[in-house]
Amino acid sequence: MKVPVVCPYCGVGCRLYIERTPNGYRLDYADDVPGIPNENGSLCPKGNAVLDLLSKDRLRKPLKAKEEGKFVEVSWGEAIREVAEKLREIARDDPNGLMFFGSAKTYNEPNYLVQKLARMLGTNNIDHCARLCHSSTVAGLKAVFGAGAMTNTYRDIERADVIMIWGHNYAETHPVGFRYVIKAKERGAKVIVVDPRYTRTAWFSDIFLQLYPGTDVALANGLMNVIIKHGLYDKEFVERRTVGFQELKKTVEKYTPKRVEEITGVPAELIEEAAVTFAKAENAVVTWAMGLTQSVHGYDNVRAVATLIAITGHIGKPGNGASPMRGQNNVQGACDLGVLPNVFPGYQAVTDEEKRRFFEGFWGTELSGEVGLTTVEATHEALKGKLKAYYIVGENPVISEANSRNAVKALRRLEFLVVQDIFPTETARLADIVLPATSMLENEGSLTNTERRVQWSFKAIEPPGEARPDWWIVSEIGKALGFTGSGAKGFNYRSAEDVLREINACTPQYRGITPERLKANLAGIHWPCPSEDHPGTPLLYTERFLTPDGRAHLASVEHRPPAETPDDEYPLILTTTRYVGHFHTLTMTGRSELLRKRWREPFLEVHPSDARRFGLEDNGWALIETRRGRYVARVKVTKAVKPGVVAIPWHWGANILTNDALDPVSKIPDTKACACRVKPVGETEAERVLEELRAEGVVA
Amino acid sequence: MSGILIDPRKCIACRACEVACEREHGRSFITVFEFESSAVPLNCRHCEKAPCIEACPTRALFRDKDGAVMVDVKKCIGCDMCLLACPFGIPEIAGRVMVKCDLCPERRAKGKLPLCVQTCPTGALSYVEPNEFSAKRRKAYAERLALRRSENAPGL
Amino acid sequence: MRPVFDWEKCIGCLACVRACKTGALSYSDENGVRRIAFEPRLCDGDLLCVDVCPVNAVKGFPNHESGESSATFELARCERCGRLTSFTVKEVEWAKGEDLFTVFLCSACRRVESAKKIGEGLE
Repeated sequence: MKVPVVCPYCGVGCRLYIERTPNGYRLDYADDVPGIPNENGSLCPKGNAVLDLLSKDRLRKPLKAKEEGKFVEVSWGEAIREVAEKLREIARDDPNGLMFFGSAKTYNEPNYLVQKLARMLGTNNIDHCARLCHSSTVAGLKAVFGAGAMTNTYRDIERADVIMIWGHNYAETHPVGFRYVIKAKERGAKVIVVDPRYTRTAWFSDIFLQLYPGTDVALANGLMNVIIKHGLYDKEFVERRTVGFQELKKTVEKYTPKRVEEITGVPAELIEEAAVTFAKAENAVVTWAMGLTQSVHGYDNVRAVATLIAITGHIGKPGNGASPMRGQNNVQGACDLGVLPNVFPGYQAVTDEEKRRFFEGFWGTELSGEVGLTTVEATHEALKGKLKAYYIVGENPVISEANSRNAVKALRRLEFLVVQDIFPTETARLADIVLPATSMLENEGSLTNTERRVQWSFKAIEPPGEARPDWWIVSEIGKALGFTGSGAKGFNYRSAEDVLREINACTPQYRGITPERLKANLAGIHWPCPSEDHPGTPLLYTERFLTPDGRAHLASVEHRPPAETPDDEYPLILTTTRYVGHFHTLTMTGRSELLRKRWREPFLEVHPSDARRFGLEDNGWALIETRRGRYVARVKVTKAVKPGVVAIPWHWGANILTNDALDPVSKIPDTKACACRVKPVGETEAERVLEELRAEGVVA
Repeated sequence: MSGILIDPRKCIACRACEVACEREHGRSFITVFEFESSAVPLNCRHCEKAPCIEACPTRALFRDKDGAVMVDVKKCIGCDMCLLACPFGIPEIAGRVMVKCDLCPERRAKGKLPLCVQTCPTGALSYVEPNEFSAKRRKAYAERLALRRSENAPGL
Repeated sequence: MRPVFDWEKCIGCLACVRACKTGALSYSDENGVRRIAFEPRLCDGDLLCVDVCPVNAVKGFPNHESGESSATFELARCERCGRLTSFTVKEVEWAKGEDLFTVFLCSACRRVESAKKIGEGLE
């Protein structure tokens, strides 16, 4: 029997089947389900390798550390008791001494429970990895449109006449979703790619704007300068549905194509061409990802691009929209369910007394109205000794946080660290208690993709050893902490479905998205869905925006450089990239030989003139240094990067180099731009550096 | 007789085809070649007039009912002549016999697409009957011409 | 019946060696040279070698008694990457005579070159 699951990897949310066989499991393609994101059931290489998650080194039993990195197996009863005791002890002293990480790699139900647990203990110190990736989007789009999610669906990308892909290596990060771009091109659509590198996505571009990392606001303002100067903006839309145009006009006046060329390195004629093409398009969509968001000005970057979309009227109708592409398969859900320090489930502010009173009544306990800590802020607080304990579900900050050495130091400083995961990660190695969770294929629940599409994934595989579903683990801890009230006032659930029903009751956007409806309809339901007979909302903002006045708030922002720019000591800009065959910190894809053999190591991309300048050879080893750390990688000499910019995939640990200066609003680190220097090294020296870093536990 | 059509204009070098093929066959019979700004997935072309079939001294290479070029391992002696004959360099010797893409016969028998075609995210690989495919292309192009003319026609 | 080998005609393709079930035919490739040898004492008279030879360099004769016989062949290099291949120079000449190709490439180079050509069809 084929069990329908949703791929455990990226935010496209592809559907596939898993079937039990006499000697294991096999995968089959969902080519018989209409309306799913992956038409014809196609899958990228990672989706094709999901069964490699059944690797031998899965966590099978709860573990307790005798000393760092050395564990003994304990029973679930003991593990839960110890976690509950420690959390209770610290909460009694000061609940804000606790920090919780939800997971973009697990279902909506356990995410809802983690934030509920944190809040019932009295703290809003709850966050997750969206902080590191799309927090700029959530904050930036909320400021302009009133809500922080993709405004349309993939079908709208297919229907667009112009697709602008900004800081997003779409073909490699969302390969199955890229089909919609290809179909649009077949219809004659034009593609504009904005990226410091000539990526595989750029292969498909009609206009390629190769900017320096960290200059996105200048480019966006430059495009708007041209559009406004030539009167190509949608006057009726601006008049009827936006505010702030006059101020915007004044601000972008000085961002002439010539001036923007100086800042960004993009030729003025291309800026003009791109602006005119985008504005004149009948229907246009802008997609974006880390290139735009992972910046110390990420909030401004997103607001500038959203403003560009608003003044051209390319929103609120089919074939148009703002499409931030979420990376993880359930990062959207984790955000929706309030795994954020400033909002309850459904983006309801913790500082809003009315909303807080609702949840106090709903959960039956007093709640804090103080905005909590975000992930990187928490690292900084832990380093100062202000945080006593972390409870981390399904995340590996030791590799994924910018300036990752800080994350390691911070975690070591804690009194108590609980890590709930499926594999022994670099982060789990530092834990006091490790809780073995089931992978999403071994568990069921709802999850939400980039398109705000909520889908149900069924249990297809038996979990290894004593691994348990995340929702069960958190519930047990909740009960052990004394939260044994009935219904929503406690943690007594028989199944993930019970939890979803509680979510329906308190999360307005998910009100009508019941377990029954999801199980009956594999293509899922797009939120907002206010009632059980509502079909869901694929397209947002057709009549009004979700801002208080219903209008889009155009943002006037100024260009500012990255937190760290090249100087004599560190003369190059370092940016980070991804491989299509790997996912994040390699906890999952690194265990698949099918994928590992094809994507073996990170290559540092260096322009030929920089290679000459610094004595680097193609395939030779390079030592890369920043003010925060050192790393080694082999070199790929290529013209895909501009002179002055080097780029490296981050999966194996390049965040030892990156900068954790934070955007003041979204608190996202400046991951995509920092200053570095490079020099050639021999293979033995390179191996030595890697061994040192591995021993320190900071790289894979 | 359908075959796998390669459209390099759509290939994004994701290698999903390689991973799927290797997963099911133990090794991949399709390889993606990446160039400066394009990529080409390459597998056995199951040629209508196959040089390998003509070169094979034991008649181990034959065409099945769907037109796929197949290897009868009982007859194959691993002599390499097909390797010499194939302009695409496809045949590989594994153990004592030649191996290559077999167009997924078990899937074909159930009316399913070959794995690589099924999984390709962008449609760079498709399973087409060549003459049907050409006819569709001609018609689509003709339709685009016709549309343009009627946009200029008065009164419409 | 026993096989008789015309080593002049033979192109060193090893079809007979691979077809032979008894090991009477054997070969070795060393330092760019292939040596093919026939040991009549191991031959069982099946004459599969005769069936498979593409150039009719082996023929069967009744009641034929022959001693051990062998020949050497130079191995050919790929005309693009220069690496030694498992085909002999005579094989390559024969293949060119049969119009199989005009430039001799190893399998790896054939794949890359044909992929490039398919890709160039784009432009």
